[in-house]
Amino acid sequence: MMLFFSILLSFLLGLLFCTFIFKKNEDISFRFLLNLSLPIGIGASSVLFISLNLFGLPLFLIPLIEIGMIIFLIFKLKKTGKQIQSIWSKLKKINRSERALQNPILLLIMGIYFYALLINSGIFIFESIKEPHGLWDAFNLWNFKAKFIRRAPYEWSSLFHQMVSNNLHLDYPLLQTGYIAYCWLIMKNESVWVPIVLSFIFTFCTIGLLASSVSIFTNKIRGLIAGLVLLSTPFYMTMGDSQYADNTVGFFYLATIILLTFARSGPSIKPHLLIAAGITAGLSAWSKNEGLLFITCLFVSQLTLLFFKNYRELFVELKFLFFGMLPILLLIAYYRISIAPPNDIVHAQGTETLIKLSDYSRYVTIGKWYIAQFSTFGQWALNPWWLFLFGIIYKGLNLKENKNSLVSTFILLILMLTGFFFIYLITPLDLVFHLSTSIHRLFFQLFPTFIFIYFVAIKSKKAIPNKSVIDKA
Amino acid sequence: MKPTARVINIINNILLLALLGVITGQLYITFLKHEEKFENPIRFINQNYGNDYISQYGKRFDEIKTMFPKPTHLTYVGEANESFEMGTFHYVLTQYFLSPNLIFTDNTIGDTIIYNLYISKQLNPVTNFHLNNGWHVVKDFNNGLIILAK
Repeated sequence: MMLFFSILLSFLLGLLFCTFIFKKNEDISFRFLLNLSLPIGIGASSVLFISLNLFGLPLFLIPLIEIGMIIFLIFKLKKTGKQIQSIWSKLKKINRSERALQNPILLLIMGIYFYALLINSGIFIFESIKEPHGLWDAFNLWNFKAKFIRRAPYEWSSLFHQMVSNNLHLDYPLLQTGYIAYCWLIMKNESVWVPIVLSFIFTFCTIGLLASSVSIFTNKIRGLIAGLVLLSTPFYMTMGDSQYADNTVGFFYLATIILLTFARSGPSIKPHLLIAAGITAGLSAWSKNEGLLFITCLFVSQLTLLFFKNYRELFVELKFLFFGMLPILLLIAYYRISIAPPNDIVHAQGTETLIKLSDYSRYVTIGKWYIAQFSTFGQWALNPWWLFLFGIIYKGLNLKENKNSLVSTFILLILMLTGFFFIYLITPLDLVFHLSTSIHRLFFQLFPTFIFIYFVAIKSKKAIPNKSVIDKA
Repeated sequence: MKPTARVINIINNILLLALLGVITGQLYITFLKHEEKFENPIRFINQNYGNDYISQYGKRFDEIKTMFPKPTHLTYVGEANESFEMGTFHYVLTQYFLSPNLIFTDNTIGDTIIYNLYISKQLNPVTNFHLNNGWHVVKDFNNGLIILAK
């Protein structure tokens, strides 16, 4: 019951925030809003809990502050009035999907989509019952730290620094950990269902957000297929039920790119959406250290837009983006400087770094693993990626709409892959061990974003059957 | 409809059906891997709920947790001659269940030591280093967990 209460608080916080950032004229669906709101609300609750806890606020006050923020947002929305109406108009849009039932292909795909959802939900629950504490990283990193915070809520920040074991990675950020600890403190017990439900939310909201956003930017068939590709990739569900944070960080990468695409879909700058994209980028860095690389690559990739737009306009956009992520970056900086022990990879750098960088064999080894990932990625029985490639060759790319967002996201993905490559080059761990335990997960973090830009970028041929019906749907 | 448009339409549908075929094929293979669970979910839940290795392992720590109501520094000693992987695994689980106590594996010997003898279960009083160098058994939980103090 209390788990439901804490998730409801986060959901309301996220929903009201997202309603606030999407003005009435944004053509979004309720499904999109729901899948975006819940994880953002969870991220916000985690940031709020850790920040207020570090300020030394009594624990019982934190949910009350959250309730206060919700009431404040409701009053703020009531004042403007229109946003509340827009939620209901979005709810009504669900009925429009009835029209989609007239299209047999769409009906078939919807059937497969719901079958896949059902099968994968079942698998997620079965695997979670089998391994309720999650796999290695879950109990070793995220849930362990959550137990620590729950059992010593006023002392954990001074105790973390004293722990020296490299196995525990106490420098890793606290989104997942903080939220689990927060729920456990509200519930007054350490139920294994909290991390399970949290992973379920991030895993399935990523699918929902991907499918609904591709639907908005293209059409319903494409949206459902995009969701199906992620849903049918066997290893994606394994990542979810193992309670790793890679799906969490992957969600925030995707949310950032979608919000940026929305922000740039009109003729003028939309500051509220850029700030929201900044917040989700900040939450990605609050989920995993790779999020910091994402933020760096995000800013660098935006510079390519200097070819397409005025530098002043770009600077204003980047300013809003930065403002959005600033509070979370400050929290991360405080956590890393004052509380957490140093990161093992960064701490181990020295003269050996240059030797590693000049070691040709390391480049070859990493390159081989990269190529192997492209062929075995996702553990599909029959690799579907050749169909993706065929799709590009046959259909071509449509860069007329959303050009800025698609180009910068493509560059971002390349930069991220290059960044991962560089981290492997200088890793103090055994290279093959490090590659074998993490490369597939790093690629998976980028996978939902890749699917999003693929399906939005690929050209649409007019000869798709009953397209008018699909577009209306 | 023009012939070229018709051809495009056919190719589009073939491409779509090929992708759907690969997806449904994969979904079927995934389902087959978990078919037994779907056939009798209640039996699967009854057999597995709470019986996983880590939950069972955690029961060993129920009593020892009450010994340390406030965060304490403990030095961890595992089985002699255990592999690095096994040693790390059992250390991590000990830290997991005994947090927020700080458990150290380095050579700095503290006053309070926790032995996690998950195989041998008992200390050998004749050969044990700590028992012969000023430490004594505070409590043996008879499940491989033993607390020593100076």
